[in-house]
Amino acid sequence: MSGPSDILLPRPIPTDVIQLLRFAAFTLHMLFVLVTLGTGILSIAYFFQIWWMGKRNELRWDREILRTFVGHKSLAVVLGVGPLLLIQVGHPVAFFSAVNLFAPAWLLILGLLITAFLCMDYVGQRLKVRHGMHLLLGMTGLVALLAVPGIFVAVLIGVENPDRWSEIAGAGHRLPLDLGFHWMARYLHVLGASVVVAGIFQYFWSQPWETHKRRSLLAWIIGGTLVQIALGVMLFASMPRRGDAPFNIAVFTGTLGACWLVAVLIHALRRDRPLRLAGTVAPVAVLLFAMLLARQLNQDRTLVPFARAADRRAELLRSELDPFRQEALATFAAGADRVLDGPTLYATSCAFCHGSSADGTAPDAQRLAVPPENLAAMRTTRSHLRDALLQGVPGTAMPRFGYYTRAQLDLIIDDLDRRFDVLGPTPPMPHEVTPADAAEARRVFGTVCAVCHAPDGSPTAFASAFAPPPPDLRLQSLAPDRAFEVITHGYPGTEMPAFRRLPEGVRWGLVRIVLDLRAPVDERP
Amino acid sequence: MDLPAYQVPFVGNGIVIAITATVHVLISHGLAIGLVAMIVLAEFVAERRRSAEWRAFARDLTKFAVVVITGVGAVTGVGIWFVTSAISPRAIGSLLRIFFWPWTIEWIVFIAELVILLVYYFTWDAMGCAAEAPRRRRHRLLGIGYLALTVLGAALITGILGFMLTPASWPQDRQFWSAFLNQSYVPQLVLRLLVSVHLGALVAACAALLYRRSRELGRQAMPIFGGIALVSLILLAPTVAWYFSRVPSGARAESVSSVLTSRLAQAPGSFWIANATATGAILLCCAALLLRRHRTAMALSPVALLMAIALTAEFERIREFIRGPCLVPGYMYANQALLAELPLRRQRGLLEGDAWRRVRETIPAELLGTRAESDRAAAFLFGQNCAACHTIGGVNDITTRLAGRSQDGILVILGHAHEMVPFMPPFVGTEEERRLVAGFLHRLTAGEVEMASLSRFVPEAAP
Repeated sequence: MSGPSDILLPRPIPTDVIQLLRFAAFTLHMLFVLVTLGTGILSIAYFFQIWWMGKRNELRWDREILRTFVGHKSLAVVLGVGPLLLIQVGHPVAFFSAVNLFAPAWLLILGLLITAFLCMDYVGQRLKVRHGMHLLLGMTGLVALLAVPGIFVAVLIGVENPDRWSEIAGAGHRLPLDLGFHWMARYLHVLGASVVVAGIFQYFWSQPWETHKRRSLLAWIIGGTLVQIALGVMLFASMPRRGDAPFNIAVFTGTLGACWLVAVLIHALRRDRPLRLAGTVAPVAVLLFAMLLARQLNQDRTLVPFARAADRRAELLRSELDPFRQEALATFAAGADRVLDGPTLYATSCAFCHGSSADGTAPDAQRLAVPPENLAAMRTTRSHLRDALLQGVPGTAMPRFGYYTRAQLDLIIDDLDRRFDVLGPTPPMPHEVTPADAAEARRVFGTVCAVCHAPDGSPTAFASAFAPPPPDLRLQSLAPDRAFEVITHGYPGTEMPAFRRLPEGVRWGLVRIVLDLRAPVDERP
Repeated sequence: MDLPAYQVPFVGNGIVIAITATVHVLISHGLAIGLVAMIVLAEFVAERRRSAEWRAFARDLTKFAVVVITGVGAVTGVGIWFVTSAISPRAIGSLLRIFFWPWTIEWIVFIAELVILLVYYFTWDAMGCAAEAPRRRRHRLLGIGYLALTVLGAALITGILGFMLTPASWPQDRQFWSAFLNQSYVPQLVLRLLVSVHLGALVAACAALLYRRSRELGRQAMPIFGGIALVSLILLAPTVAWYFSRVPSGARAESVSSVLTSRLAQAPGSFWIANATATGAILLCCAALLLRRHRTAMALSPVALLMAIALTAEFERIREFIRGPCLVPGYMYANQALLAELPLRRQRGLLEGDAWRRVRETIPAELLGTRAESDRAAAFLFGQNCAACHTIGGVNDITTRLAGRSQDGILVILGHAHEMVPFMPPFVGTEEERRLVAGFLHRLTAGEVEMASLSRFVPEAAP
């Protein structure tokens, strides 16, 4: 089955209830969003207007408007939690996918909101702000504030058009031309609505009883409403899908509400009478309710079938996963109660390559071109082993264990020492080497081995660049049998060649030389 | 896994969520609960001492608190949600379904909180400073009512936060109450409330010392706020121990290393020295405040506040980190694969049938069957498997972690990473997919692959 599957945990309440609550919560949220945006726009517009006309003594008026900003914006933010919660519970796949399409912008919203809020509230809540500062903070705040609805509109267009995701992702996460036009119309429509709603709110809340202020606000509201009607036509024309009957009825009702509002406003302007609260709020309520309903009806036309299909796929996946649930729980329980002691650390971090008996023959070791070291045959110092654990061995699978604390690394080392005596002295040679073999071995070491192993046992400068480099023979040795094996057969996957053509006695002579190179340090406490 | 992956380039997702969450915790605890508690206390002091200065102090501080709480605190709170929507959608989507009701109730509490706070702020003139005693009393009651709601809010959120580390029996029974009332619930709630009071007292002490309108107020306020800070700090010690005694042993073992990270892991002593120094600085400041040493307190209180902030951030870091490989305990790994999904994906793989891969990956015909195609697939797998924590070239860089390792070595390490590193989730996918990723990571580490998009895991098409 193609298409994504929903979140597997069941929905806490039926989808229809979620839809209903989402409409209610979103309407409340939008009401405060519109007042917040519009208050910001009006306040800055008034600042410019008063400044331009040189009426400095009236500069309190725009701040009077902005004073309530702290309240609107707080409520706009908290009321936004509801719709966010509901759309994520009801339509997670569509919503999260659309958010991902515009993820950088989506994350930027936080910075924009904080900037806008701090700037606007600084201006609105201070008794005295210098004009230059006012201008700077006001403009910064307004630009940040107005960017936010643009991002939300883009994400919602993404949510509503799952069939276009591929196209959007393919175009560098930008909206294609037709959706871009729709975005612009919708964004401007939100801004226009905000001027109207905030204008009406300020008209009644700030109660400007001077006639020119009242008239000026009224002019903004009327102008805003008329522009909204024009923008609404543009938005309607730019819809990606043609509306169905319920949508068209809702839009038509909203348009009637808008005309009713214009009639009320023009009547008040002509008679030069103050607006009446009930007479103004009624058409606005009809208008907002109908338009927001149209918005959701249109959204749900794609969201609901999309969610249903995702639910069916989730159902299928859930039944496929059920048989594995008990096993998963057992894994989880084991992890929670794990104890970080030496044997556990070795078992989980080392044994899959070095093997439980530390001889380097675990199943995964078979995959490796450079076989893991036979730890049971290795003798070294604590600090050398710790370095190996911290740095790993380049060119091999040996990882860095830097996330373990010093104490945890010591637990591993102590465990290795307890079981395999890795910090102990090198075991004695099983038999003596004849003087002739010893002399020949010294000659071979000086001419052949010394290319990589310096006379003191350290890696030569030439060989240090190998991955892996030769071991530092001053710091680590191998049990004689194992050393003999490495000299005879070489170390697979590394530059260490096989010397099986040398007489056996000479090879034992080489073992003797190599073992004598290790400084007799015993770091055990 | 049917949902897209996204990573903030270089910084990585962890840091972004950590910064958002820490700022929110500091403001929600320190200011929204703690500082407002101190403001209400100051109002009571003003009433008792009939002091206009204390009243003015409380009133001025309210403005600061309201602007920061509503402008930064509320936005970062919703912000945690915004960030998780973009970076771990499957996890936040699942958590929302488990905790729908507490979150819904929290939403309503949150609205009520803000409305009361705004009313409290806007009625300082009409009620708080009114001549009639009953009006002033009503204003104080508003403050108390707000504080009661913030405690309720904290009680709701703590259930969700505690669940993510100590889920009680939820993984087995999937019952809401066993998720919410988990074993670390009570100690964590007490811990958070004490932290709130402590931070609030330190902020109030700083504000009183810097209060320009009255030096006398600073002198009177010092022992009050200093005493509250000291008592809450002393009570915090056993509470921290109580909290950690409730945490599973496997997680507790990671606490110290979660703070030290691999940078400092070899010097574990630094953890204890740093914590002791920070606590010492706060104790000194409390002493200076209690003894009314104005200058010493002036110098020490910003330091103490910074240390308290650092200790709070440290606690959040530990709590977030030690929940280890799971985002939703017993259910979902940090890379958003379900625990039960692992065996299925081992058989069926991650690439085949992934809905989002079909949306995203339109591979040009000329690249089919080439290394460019397998690189794209491997990078996609990297995004789903590793990118919750590892970046390419930034924080927790995968190429430095794997530098120098052989390709077959990387293949083996990928198969065992979750055993080696207790906080890592397992690789999700088939053997063949693991081989694909190992080859890709080996060449990436060797500098043979360039990335066209770091945040969406698209490699440059090789020539």
